[in-house]
Amino acid sequence: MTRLLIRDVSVILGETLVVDAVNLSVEEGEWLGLVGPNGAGKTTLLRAIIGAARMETGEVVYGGQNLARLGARQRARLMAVVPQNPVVSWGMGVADYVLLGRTAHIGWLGREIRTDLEIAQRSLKALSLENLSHRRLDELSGGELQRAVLARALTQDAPLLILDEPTSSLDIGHGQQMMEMVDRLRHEKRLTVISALHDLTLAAQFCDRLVMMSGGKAILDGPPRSVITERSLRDHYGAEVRIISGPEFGVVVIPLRAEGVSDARDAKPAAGRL
Amino acid sequence: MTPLSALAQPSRVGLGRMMLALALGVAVLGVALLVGPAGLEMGEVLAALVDRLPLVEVENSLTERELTILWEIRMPRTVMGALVGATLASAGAAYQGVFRNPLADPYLLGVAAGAGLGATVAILLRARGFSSLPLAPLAFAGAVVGVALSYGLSRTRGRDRRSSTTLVLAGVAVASFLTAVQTFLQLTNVTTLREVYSWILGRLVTVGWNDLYAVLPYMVVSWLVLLIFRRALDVMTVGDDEASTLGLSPRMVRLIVVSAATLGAAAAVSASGLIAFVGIIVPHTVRLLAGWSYRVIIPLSLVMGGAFLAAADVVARTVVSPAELPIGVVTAFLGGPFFLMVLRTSGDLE
Repeated sequence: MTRLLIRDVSVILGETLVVDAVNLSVEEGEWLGLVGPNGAGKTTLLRAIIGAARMETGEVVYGGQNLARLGARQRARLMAVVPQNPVVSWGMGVADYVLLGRTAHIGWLGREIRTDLEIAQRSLKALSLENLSHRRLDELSGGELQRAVLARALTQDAPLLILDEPTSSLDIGHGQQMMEMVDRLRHEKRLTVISALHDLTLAAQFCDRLVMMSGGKAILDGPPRSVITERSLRDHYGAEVRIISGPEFGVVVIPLRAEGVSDARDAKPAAGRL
Repeated sequence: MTPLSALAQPSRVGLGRMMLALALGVAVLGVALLVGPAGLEMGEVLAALVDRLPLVEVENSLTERELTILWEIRMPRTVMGALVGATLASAGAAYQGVFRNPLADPYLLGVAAGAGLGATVAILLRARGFSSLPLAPLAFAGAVVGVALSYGLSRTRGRDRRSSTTLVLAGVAVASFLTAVQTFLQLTNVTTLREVYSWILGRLVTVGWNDLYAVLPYMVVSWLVLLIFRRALDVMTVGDDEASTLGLSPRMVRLIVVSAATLGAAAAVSASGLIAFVGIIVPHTVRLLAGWSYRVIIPLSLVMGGAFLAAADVVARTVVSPAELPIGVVTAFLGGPFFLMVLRTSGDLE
């Protein structure tokens, strides 16, 4: 079993301790969700894991290797990243974008060979992007773009998948589809997934385990039902919520208004007013 | 399923496109060799060119004087124009790629002004007794200082993100400062004024084969590195963070590409003086015609840059004939309006 170990990781940005001595262990094939209020340090912890933020203390070890000691190429063969706000290059086509995922497998003087093209082709198929392969990135919808980014990450052929708020720019339908795709792919390819997530209901439905961060610390760690509680959301989010749980939908988080819902009238269909 | 062969099509240099560009380049070089006050016949020039090929002998009726004009004046000048154009265009494309800024070119980032200052210092030192001091290394050192200052100054604020505007402004400030120092040195050393001015206004007029051999190795190294790194430049289009997670070291790529482009630009500028806008006009024209990929932009910029500057030299030699315009005046005249057009569309090109 290849395990990812995050040992005593602290990150200071400016003069602020943003991640404070976090210790985590993620098993092979597990989906770990990082949740927590804004500024809790979720994204910074992910950036420390992928080597984009300098760690003040600690280390990230995968399969016995300290990731900080690896070069960008070796690291990219171990972990693929889906950023929160991917940079969209003007004019670039979807197929070319997905092929960028092969960078760590191509030498300085090399170019894509048949194997690279085949892997990219499989990724396009897995994410139903075949018909869009020659479309330009800047012509895609938000959901299509997010699928293209996931296809690029998949093309890296790495056992670890890191997702930073993958549903933040998507509507409820596309967000759900995105999470289903990640779940299907991780089972098919036995990927280990770590994602920062804002939507607690989706996080509880899809992740095997959640870690709640607050003030840079990992406060709670365990199965979704034990982490997403009315008390934890009151204490760390300052939110008054009701939690409903059931075997068919997992955990649902309902925000409550302090003085009840002000407009309790039934919603009416929009009249033909101009 | 998408056919494999079609998958990577958009980023390949189409053979047809490359052949078309090469044909255009050869045509321009041909015109450049034919145009001039000596009025050489096209057929005779062609015969003289073919005659120079190994194992081929072709009769031509050019006189000794005409042959000298062709081989010792027009040919080195035309070839140097093409080499300088190719180098500046590919360097400009590379700067735009690594800085992710459509307005970056050797001139804007202070490379040319730095090289200008280096060349001026070299000319002054030659006049003070260091007569064998070569000009190119000092021009190169000046170019490196220019780009390092521009890049360093644009980085001081907002450590994680440097905006295109800050970079261009830093480049403009550094170029102005270095030009001011150069002007001061010029004016306080009037004996070398003519030589410095002759260098600044473009030196294709006085180019000989030896000048060409002196800069060719630097240019070839620059081209080769940029051609090798053209896929890395494609990866850099997604930004440093993403490029890093894809397996590239953006810092290393930037260092190598900027060094290579600076080497080429410094060699070009040291040979030909300050020629503006080639690094912007050519890559953007290629980009508009052939797409986003640096795998297309770099090789086509090399060919089109060569053709463009050779053509600009023909214009410089003919519009006020028998006098000549400095070639930098011609490229700036064409480049000014083009630059404004790029500015207006830079939101799309960024």
